[in-house]
Amino acid sequence: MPDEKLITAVSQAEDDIVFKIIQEKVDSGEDLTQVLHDLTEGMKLLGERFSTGEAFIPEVVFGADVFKQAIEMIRPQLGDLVDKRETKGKVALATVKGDVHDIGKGLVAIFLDLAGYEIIDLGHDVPNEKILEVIENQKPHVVGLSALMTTTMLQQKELIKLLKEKGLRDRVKVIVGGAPIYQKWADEIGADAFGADALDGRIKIDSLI
Amino acid sequence: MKIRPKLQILEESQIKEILADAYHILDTVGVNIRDYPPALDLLEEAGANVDRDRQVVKIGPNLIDKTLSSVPSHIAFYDQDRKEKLFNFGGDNCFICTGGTGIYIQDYENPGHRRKTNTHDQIIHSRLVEECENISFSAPFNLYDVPIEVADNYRFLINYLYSSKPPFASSWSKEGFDTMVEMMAVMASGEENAETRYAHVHPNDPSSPLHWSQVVIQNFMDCMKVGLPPIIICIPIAGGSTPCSLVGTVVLETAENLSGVVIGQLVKQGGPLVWGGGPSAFDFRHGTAPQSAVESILMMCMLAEVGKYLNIPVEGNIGRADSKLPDIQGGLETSMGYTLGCLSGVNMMRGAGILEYASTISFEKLLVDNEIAGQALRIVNGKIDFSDVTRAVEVIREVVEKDGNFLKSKHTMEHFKKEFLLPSEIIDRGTRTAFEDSGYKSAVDRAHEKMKKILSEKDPRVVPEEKRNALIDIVRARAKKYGMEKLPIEEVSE
Repeated sequence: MPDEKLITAVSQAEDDIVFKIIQEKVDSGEDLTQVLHDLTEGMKLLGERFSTGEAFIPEVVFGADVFKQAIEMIRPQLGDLVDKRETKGKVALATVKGDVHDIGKGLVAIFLDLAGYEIIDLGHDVPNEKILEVIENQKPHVVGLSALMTTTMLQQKELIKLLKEKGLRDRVKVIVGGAPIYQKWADEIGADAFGADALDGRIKIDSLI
Repeated sequence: MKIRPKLQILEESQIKEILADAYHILDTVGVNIRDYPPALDLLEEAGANVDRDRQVVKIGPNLIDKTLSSVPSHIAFYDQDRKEKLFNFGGDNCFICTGGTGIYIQDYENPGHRRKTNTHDQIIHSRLVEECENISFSAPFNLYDVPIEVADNYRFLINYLYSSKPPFASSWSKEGFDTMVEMMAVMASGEENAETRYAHVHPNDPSSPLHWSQVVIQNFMDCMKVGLPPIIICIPIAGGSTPCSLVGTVVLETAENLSGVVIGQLVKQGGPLVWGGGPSAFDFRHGTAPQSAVESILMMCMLAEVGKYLNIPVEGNIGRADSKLPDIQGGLETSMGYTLGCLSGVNMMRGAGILEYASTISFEKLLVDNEIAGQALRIVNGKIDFSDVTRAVEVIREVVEKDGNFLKSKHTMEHFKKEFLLPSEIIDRGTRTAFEDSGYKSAVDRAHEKMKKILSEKDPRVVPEEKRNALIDIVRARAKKYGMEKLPIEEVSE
């Protein structure tokens, strides 16, 4: 039976309550499969609370972290089952070389996570060679490139050029975003999509998969 | 005696605490300088603790104190040709700069809509800035009708051709920087002592928390080398890249700025630089970074107080509007920024004519902001004259005893222009009848009319053909590398 108190606590990013309830369930030795469902349901609710303007970004960001820690608490009993959540697709995200601004890219990751995608977050100041390596080896469906500065947006162009040179362009969809980025730029450099903000990025990725 | 109204948020003891925290952060956490070994070499030689693997430099208090002592408190600015001295930048003097950084133009005919910027827009903008008596610095914006690789030099060129005011403009690569320096030499040619006459400022944006990227640190150090005053401007999002508290953000920005002071003074002891900033308060509902939020302005004013305490000229991204339109919200945001910024003595307030998180240029907003700036500057630069003459006791006696009024008084004749600022036609203080007769126009409509009037009646500035051609040659040569044979400005006929 769903534990409404747990679901509510997850949806409100109440870390202390979430951890306390789960610890009690772990200690009691009960089957934790339901906890996994409740955590997932709580995150879905948190996403809905954000969409309606009831919850704010820090609650979503913090809540995603609480969810991850909670998963680790039940992993010893459930094992690989916790990783077998169905995913909508695999997305690699990076803030390009020379650019350390990754708040926007981090938000995209969280919105994608909430929507059920598997994320490979490469961090910031990521050289194109590293991104190419991930595309070749981990085969994401989509790669998202963020650039905040006019000086670094050229890296997006460069990556697409490299993908073509290496014959990898058809293997992955490319979405670009960041403050100076716009649709025409995405068209010019041959990207598949442009995300105007984090939520738009998630919506565009939905349409690419 | 002249009264200069002042806002002082932090007490001296609190400024000292902020500085002590910032010193502690630089000493124990350090600053990350990416992929530019010359900066690490310089700091190591000066005694800083350099971790080459992590590219992190820890800077001790003695080095900070030593370098702080050599920063000039004022910078004398000249026009772009370095002929005429314009003003002394520092102390409590306040100046306004346009917003720069824009990538869109607001469409007056289709309010709320915008399109990408081009050469023609920059020409209009620079010509308008030339006529804005309350705007002292001209920051050109990004232009999209040339290859992006050369857009930094190209916008600098257009701005120079149409505005004499000192520009606030960065370059985006080493090549762009060197080309800009080459252009500046052409602009100053024929002037004696040009190298000691400052006519440009170059923003350099370290990224919070405590990062200098390769292009930024290289350009910053090159600025110091060639005597082009750099502005250190971190643009953090409080609650994102800095703590979710006003003073926590000020502490972190202070540490970032101090790292710039140390590096700058090590490159050139006694070289001028500017203590800048552009904090924004994270909007936790929309994920945006408004610099117009009242907390953003408060953080900037406090950061300015720290810079002023250290006797360094101060810049702030202040007076910007985040509204999508040049509307009431935009007017509120700019007015609050300029008013508080002026009262705090922020020497340069950068934000005139820009909307929506510094992305969208509005010509009408620029002209309205010139009016807002005039009124805000009136509070501080105009000063309040407090004397026997202005207290006017004898005038009051004389007028009242004669049962007259003050309109006929010689005192009024002598003071009305000095005591009261007369705004332009953009600010409507006229009668109802005049308002109706002129077609119920808003301030934005009146600004648009003023813009058309300036463009049709005022001649553009004239740059000698020799200089103009030399500058175009320099930029064209660079543009050719990126596939452009002829610059759009070459199609523009005067």
